[in-house]
Amino acid sequence: MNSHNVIFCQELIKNFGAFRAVDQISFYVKQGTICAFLGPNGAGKSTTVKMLTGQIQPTSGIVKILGCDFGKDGNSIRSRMGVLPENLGLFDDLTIEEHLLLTGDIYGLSRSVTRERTEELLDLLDLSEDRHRFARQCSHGMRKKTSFAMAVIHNPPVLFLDEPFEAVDPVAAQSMQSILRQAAQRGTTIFLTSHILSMIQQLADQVMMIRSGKIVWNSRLSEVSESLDELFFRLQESPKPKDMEWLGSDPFSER
Amino acid sequence: MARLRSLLGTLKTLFFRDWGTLSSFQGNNLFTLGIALLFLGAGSFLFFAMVLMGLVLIFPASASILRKIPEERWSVWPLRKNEKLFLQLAGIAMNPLIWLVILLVLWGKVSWEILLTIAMMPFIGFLLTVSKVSVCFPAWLRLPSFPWRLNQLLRKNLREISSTLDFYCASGFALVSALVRLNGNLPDEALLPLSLLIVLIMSTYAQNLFGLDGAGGMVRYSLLPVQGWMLLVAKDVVVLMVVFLLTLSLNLIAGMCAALMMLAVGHAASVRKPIDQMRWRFQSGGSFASGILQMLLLIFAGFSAGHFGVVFLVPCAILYFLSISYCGKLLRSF
Repeated sequence: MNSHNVIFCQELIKNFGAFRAVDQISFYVKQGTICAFLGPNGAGKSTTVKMLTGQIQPTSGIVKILGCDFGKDGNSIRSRMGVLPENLGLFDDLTIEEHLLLTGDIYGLSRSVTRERTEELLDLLDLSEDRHRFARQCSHGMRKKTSFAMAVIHNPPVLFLDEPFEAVDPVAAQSMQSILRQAAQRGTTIFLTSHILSMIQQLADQVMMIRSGKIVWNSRLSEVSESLDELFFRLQESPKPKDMEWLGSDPFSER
Repeated sequence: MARLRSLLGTLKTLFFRDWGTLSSFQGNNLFTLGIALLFLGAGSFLFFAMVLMGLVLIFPASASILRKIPEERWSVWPLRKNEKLFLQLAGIAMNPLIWLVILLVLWGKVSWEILLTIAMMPFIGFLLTVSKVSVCFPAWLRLPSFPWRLNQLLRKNLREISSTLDFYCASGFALVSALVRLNGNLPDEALLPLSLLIVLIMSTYAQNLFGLDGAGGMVRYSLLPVQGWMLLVAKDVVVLMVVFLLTLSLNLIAGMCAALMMLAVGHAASVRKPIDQMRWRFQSGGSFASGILQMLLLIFAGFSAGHFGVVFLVPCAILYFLSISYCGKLLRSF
């Protein structure tokens, strides 16, 4: 493993009972790279992110983040990564602002730095007015932006973002994109999943695709000779469109 | 008519599902104690405990069942005004408190003040449904800060514990006991048992410390660079604060010893077998055996503290620290 490989995994397998969700995948992501991990629903993206972030243990295989593995240096890795998990990881009984203050406190930021960054992130993500809302009272988009802010507020060297742009308004999505691009330019490594291919086309340096638990594509984006949409549809098996004749016909004629 | 029938069917399903969640107290230590005392012949205590439990339990159930229908769905369904009114009235009719009032009226031996009080509950529930006012607690936003890096977790845990019925039941006992003591009608011998009773009411919560964090909260815990024991301490501090306040006017030392023991036993169940809990319900216990063990040990610790005094805090604290160190590691290994 090269020392610049911030994320490294080898022969990673995850079984849920008899079902194999992730099937012997191996890859690495270099420092300062934005790596997009693409695939249809149920392909194994989120399971892979969960294994890379220590939320679940792989059935077998090796995972190393910043050269460390969870078995030996769990808290050391956790303190150096930012995560936007699939279910967002928010507490119903904390407000948006309190989530950010909690993150600052736990990752060892001083009170003033936490305050300053909280203000900056709330402004940028258009959450300032809703800062005192409890997470359970927020829309899905607001919850996602809160989880994103929690992932970046402590300036971690590696970020894992599971579908960060889904359900977020275009303005906030653009702000998030620009934050990620700037962070990557300064050396942050970013691993993200998404279904919004147009956004990935603008953002990613490296593209990986997974299908039925196996990696079917892994290259730099610049090496992809077709558009990302074309590549995606070529590699994924999609059902043939079917005409549902009842849809759009006179709704009262059939009752 | 067909869609009204279908909606009434859905409301009926929601009603019975909601009613099912009220049975959460089945694994609750207070319930277990009540049953035990019934067999021991202490029927008057059982009656008192069950009345209090019943009232605390029934209030959240008094809201109209229509609140279960998502507002967005209610507003886009193609229902006429008279159909909506019919459903709102059906919501009232499905309220168990209305049945209770009717039964009490037929019985004819209950004063009209009590009937009015009970009847007010579904009426308030109906108003909340019609006016779409959501119940919120602005005071929860203004909780004090704690000088610790897990400050926000402590504040969250305080909000969680104050959304359980166990907390209100224990507070009810503590308040009544304090008032009786203030009037000089409480003998000194009753202070220790009452303190233990308050800890016992809170003990089921201690078996399910993570029950209200939900899936999101558990994922966040797994991502935080914090030792497992610290997450447990953040939960325990809040429980100990509550017990401290509730037993302050009774036997504080016995209360704290019992609380340390209750937490020492409760950690294992909280970590090994977390069960999702619901707000505004009594908490469900992890297992019957662990509930019995917890009750026996907390009663033992409380009576020993009554006998040996403040010095008995030391063995309780040692057991507590052993438990937190072991279960903290367990918490991180899952």
